[in-house]
Amino acid sequence: MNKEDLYKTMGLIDDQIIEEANINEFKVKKRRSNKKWTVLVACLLLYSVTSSVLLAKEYISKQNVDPYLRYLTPESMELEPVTLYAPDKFIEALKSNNDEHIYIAINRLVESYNNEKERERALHEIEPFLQSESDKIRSAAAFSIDILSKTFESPYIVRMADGSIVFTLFHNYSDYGSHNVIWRIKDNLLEQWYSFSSPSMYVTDMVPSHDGKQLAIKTSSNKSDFVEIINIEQGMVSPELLESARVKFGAQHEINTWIRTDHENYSYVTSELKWKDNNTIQFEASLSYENTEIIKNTTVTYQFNEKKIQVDETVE
Amino acid sequence: MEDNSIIRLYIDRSQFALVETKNKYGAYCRAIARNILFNSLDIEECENDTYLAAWQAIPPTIPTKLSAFLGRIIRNIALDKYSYNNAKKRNDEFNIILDELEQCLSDQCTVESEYEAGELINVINKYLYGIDKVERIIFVRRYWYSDSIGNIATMLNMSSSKVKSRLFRTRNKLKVYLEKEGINI
Repeated sequence: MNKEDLYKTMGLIDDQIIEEANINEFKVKKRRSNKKWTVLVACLLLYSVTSSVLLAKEYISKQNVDPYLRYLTPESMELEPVTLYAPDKFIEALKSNNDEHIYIAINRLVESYNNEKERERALHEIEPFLQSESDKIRSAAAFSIDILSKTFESPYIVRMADGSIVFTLFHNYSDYGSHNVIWRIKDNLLEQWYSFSSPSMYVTDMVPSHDGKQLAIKTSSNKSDFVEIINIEQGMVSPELLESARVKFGAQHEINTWIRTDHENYSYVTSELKWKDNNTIQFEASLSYENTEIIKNTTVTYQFNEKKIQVDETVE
Repeated sequence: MEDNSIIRLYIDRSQFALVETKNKYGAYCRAIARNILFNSLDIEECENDTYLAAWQAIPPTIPTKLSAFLGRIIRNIALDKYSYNNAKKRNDEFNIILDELEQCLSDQCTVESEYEAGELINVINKYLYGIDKVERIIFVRRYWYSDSIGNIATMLNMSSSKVKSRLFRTRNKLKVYLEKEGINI
């Protein structure tokens, strides 16, 4: 049997089960939380460019098919021809009919930030995409404009204690999360600040400590989550916390704890990352052992300065 | 209009059956096809083919749940069209759903271990009835309605990673369950 046959067979699932999953409460409610700021950006631009309010209206009402991207590789983000960062190539891509290229170009044009002339040019060229029929392109345009116009109102921006801001580009480009590179603007200079390698394919969350001196970052693959803390003052990064918790808990409870060569831990963060104080982060984690045959629900507490991790089994 | 009245229209061979079906279940059917197919013309074609198939099937078939009956038809038609379309036009998002399901397939499948769909689905139904309700809903939304992880997370007010982890484990448990029942698919 192949996967398509299995999918087809799933079609014969009992009516009662299908109906159960079709109850009204489970109708999709569109997320609204991020619209406020994107509309604000749209309005600001409209004020300077045109007096029409139709743009914001269109932004909310239009729905269409988005380009779908599973993995962003450096090659796919370059667009032909491959050269050093060249805004012309991305400006040109904006004029194509290829939504995927447009989406990539809008995100990559943020890199024009450090060049005043290119920044203003990119702003001007991206602005019409606030009216795109694609939700993904509209959101990307709103975010890029927020950065390039130095408005910095986006909820995707994290503000740190040293006055810098950090963010990812290609926000939530996949079901699984955002591009696994963190950008920083410090002293009005944009730089690629921190990146992750496989299996941390996506950045899924960034939570600053209360004093903004530390940043907790959750990344994920298709199978696992990973958590790291960066202290921006000390320029230090913690060990990966989920695997550390898994190993520690396994040792404490004499569970065989093999580490896979691909570093997939098949474990997940099941709550928000919460800073208990400026030095201590806590989250719920579902830890996996013996090829997922054993699952342990735990609370993980990590103290950055003391490099101390505590893993307690959650009683349900 | 109530489902019973719509089915009555089919039995009476009234063309209003199709109008009423479309009014009540058009959006529902299109949503299922849209999760499988990329092209809006294909989706429209699937929807029309679904009404035709329903017209041909009722009577003698009398659906107990009209929504599930129509959903099952459009799901099958959309899947056939998905298989027919060339690779370039395929919906990558749906491809991921199929890849995920591959995890339930045994590595040691032989000709002798091929099973009739009826036998397999009985075991899958038994498994689904035996698991937690939320797990079941997540599983059905993903592999019957072909919803994206993001949509399921929004529907159920939980994080995407939680949806992913629950799906992953439900698939794993399904594979183990099938093996325990002597089924290596």
